[in-house]
Amino acid sequence: MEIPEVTEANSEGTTYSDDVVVVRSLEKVFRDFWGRPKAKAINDVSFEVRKGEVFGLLGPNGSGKSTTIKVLLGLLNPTRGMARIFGHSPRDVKTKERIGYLPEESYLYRYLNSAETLDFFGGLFALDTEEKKLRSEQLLEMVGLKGVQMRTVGEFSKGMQRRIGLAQALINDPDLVILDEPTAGMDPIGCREIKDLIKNLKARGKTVILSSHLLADVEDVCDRAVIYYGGKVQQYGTLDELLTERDTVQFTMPALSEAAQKEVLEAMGRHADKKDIRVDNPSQNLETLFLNVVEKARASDETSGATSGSEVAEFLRADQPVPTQAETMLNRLADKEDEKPKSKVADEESVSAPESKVDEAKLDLLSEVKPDPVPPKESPAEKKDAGKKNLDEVDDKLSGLLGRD
Amino acid sequence: MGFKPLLAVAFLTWKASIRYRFFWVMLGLLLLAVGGMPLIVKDDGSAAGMTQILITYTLAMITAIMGVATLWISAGSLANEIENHQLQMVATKPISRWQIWLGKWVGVMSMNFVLLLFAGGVVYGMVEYRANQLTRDGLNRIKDLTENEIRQLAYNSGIPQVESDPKTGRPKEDKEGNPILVDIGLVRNSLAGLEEKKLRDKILVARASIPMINSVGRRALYQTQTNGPLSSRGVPLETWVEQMMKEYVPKREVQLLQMKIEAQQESGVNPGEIVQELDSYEKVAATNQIRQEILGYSQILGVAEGLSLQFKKPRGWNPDELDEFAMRFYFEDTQVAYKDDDLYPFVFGFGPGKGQVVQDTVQFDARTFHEIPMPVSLPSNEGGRINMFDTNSLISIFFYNGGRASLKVPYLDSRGRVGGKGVELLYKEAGFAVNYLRALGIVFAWLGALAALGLFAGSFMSFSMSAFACIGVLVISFCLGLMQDVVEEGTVMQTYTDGQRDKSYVDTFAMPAFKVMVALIKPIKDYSPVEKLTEGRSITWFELLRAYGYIWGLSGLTMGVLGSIILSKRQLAITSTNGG
Repeated sequence: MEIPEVTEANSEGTTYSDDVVVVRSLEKVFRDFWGRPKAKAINDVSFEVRKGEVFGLLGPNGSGKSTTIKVLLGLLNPTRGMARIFGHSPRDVKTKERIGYLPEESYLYRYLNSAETLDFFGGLFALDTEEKKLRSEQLLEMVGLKGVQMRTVGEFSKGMQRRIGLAQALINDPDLVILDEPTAGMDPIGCREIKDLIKNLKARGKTVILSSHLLADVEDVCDRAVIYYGGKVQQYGTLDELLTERDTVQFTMPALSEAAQKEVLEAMGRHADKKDIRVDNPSQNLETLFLNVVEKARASDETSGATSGSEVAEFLRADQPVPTQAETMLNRLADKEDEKPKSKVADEESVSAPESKVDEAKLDLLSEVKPDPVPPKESPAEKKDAGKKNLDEVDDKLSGLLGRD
Repeated sequence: MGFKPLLAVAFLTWKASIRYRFFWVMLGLLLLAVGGMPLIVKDDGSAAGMTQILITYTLAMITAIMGVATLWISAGSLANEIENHQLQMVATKPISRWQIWLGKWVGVMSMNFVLLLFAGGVVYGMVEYRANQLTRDGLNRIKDLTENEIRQLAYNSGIPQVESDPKTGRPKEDKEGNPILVDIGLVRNSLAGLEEKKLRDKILVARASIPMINSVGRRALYQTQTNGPLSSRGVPLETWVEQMMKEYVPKREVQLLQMKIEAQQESGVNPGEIVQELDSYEKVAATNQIRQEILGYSQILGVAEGLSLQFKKPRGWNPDELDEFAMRFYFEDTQVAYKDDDLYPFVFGFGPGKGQVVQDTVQFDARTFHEIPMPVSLPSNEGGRINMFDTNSLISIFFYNGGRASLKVPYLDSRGRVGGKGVELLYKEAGFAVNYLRALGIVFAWLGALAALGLFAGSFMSFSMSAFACIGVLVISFCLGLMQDVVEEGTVMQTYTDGQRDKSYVDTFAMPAFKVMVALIKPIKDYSPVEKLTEGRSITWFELLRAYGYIWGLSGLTMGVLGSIILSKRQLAITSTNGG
């Protein structure tokens, strides 16, 4: 594992290269009342997060993921080492305008309702009233809490609290989104929506740090990841680097007749030991099955809790052929910051353009019912099976780190 | 970013108070305390007594209830949010920690402002209602009286029956030379409103002191011939003091020398080596001590002895010629066999500059405040009016002991400076409403300091600990008298040996701590608006400003800055609940 050196832009060490987050030799020791060391939560941790990537912090409970995040947010002071966000100290107030944070648990005000929660956090970003209102409405729609926006957060289920927590983390359209266990307590649909959202944020050039001990979460969306154990970084790199087994090859093809299978196996047996060759039918995973069932039920039944989230809030969307009004506005704001004004005509066109839904095609694909266990000839099982296998392998690795069989 | 984030935090405090019903409970409590409880409190039966008790009781209740609530809510709003991790969410947004601290303070204080205005408004309404009720009761009492009976009663009460020229003060006459009587309706209203007028003149008013200047004369009355007119003569106080010192300093030096020689003998110094004279330091100390004693003694007036005091009209007060002010007079009988109902005659005089144009004899009882109305000007024999303040805005007050007992008129304050409570000249500086608002302003300043204290404690302690600490500070502040006593006596011991207080090892660290606490708490407590308000004394804008300067500027700001720094340095992700 090689950690690239930080390139400092000046002698004061305030700005760095394109890295959004730089962590070097970070150490955090918790002490008791008398100042005696109690626990070393993180130990000599170094990594950097690049602009526009989804970066995973992976590890079992208590491995130091959340501590790292809290140091990055200025909620904890490092005992040793340093952390920089956008080239500045984690305590820098101005930098926090560009950060969105979803903590591991709901630390929201229980007496505020959803709309008031977003209004309050919007107020901390000094958003003007109209903008706050617009973004709140879109975010509530996105996280599926529009129908229960007058209920106080204290009345919410854990999943609903995660949803409103997510909404507040996005109220400022942040450049860096830090999500600590975002799918904890969420139903599978919510999990899927969060993953879609993360992909969407990435498509908009945002940087996402995702902390999770759920391997599927990380694998689905992350470009790179660090794997923690015992407060130390054990593995660090792209997912491909981490997951690929260079000494194994996997073929996926349409179902074959028994004779054809035998023929292929014989051919393969000439190049590899037969006991190392495995043949089976890929199956859809439980998440896909669950999504299909709920998708069907949603069409007919009502619920008093959170509904499935709607499409990504307009001001957060990326994959529109034509930007929406909110997006145009946000882009304009962003352009202003970058001092690259867009032409007025282009903006007007954007405003008048029809909206289209995000990830509709993908959701349709996911909700497609597949009664036949054998995949259709014209659609090979793509990466699903491979993904499952990779997941198992990562699990194995992690189990190894944990010292289990 | 501006102040939007700060205001968002302040508004959140409001939301919390309303959602948790704190605000409504406070409204109810205050309404019960200021509206309901005075109904069962007994007064002395007089209008002034009733009003004084009403104001004292209600303002004390408001301060107590709101003070405790302020400590509670301010400590809780910060400590609880840290413990429940909610502040982590706020701290990751673009808002400085000091802004969070200040936002909380603004939130608590804006709520206090509304609550104080509400409770204060209720009290003011009650006071005004009760004052107006006095006139309504008066009208009821005299509604069946004839015009002659009303005029007789009004005459007995000193209400003028004849219209007079406002400039000369002379009675107006009709064409036939008969005096013009005041309309009976006006007389009836004046008679019915007598009690209310007294109340508004003495209690429901803001009267300020005309400052006494350091120009005191020691005087004496004498008669040049038996049964002849009284004359007076006097010398400046400084001259009188010097004369007294010439007499007493040598005597004191002899006493001290005697004591010094005895002390040397007792300590076993050889007779030939005994120092037989006082050194220069001992002489200076003896002179200063005797000077202070003589100054204190200058307040004692023997038979026919008196004092002249000078007062300077303040710049902000520009009275009309027909306006009045009041002299407040207080004295103590120095005899052991003092009786409450003994009356002591005083000869009073006053006039512009150093002169005296009016002289009168009045009898008073001791140890009570007496008020004598005084005119700003008097009609002169040559026509026109003589202003009692000369061109330098100075007025002199003369008074002589007309009885046989020695009396003490404390014209010096506790530090030996002029301006004691013995003689005060009071003028109407503002109305009651303005004074009342200033009093509420000082209560608001106190609440500000308490809010700062609560937030300061909440910045680094858990809610339970910070609440405990705040209540501890409150209890300590109630023990101010005891601490002052300890500081003055120089020891915490209350036992005596050979007439001297015993000492303790505890004094070593208790004395500095008590000195600091007295220095911090006493000035805050000294800004009590209640006493002044119930005496109809003015709380001037300057005093209000000074109170804010001290209470907010020093106490509040110190705690605010310290609290903000502590909060800024604090690792919010470590709380007592997660043990980190």
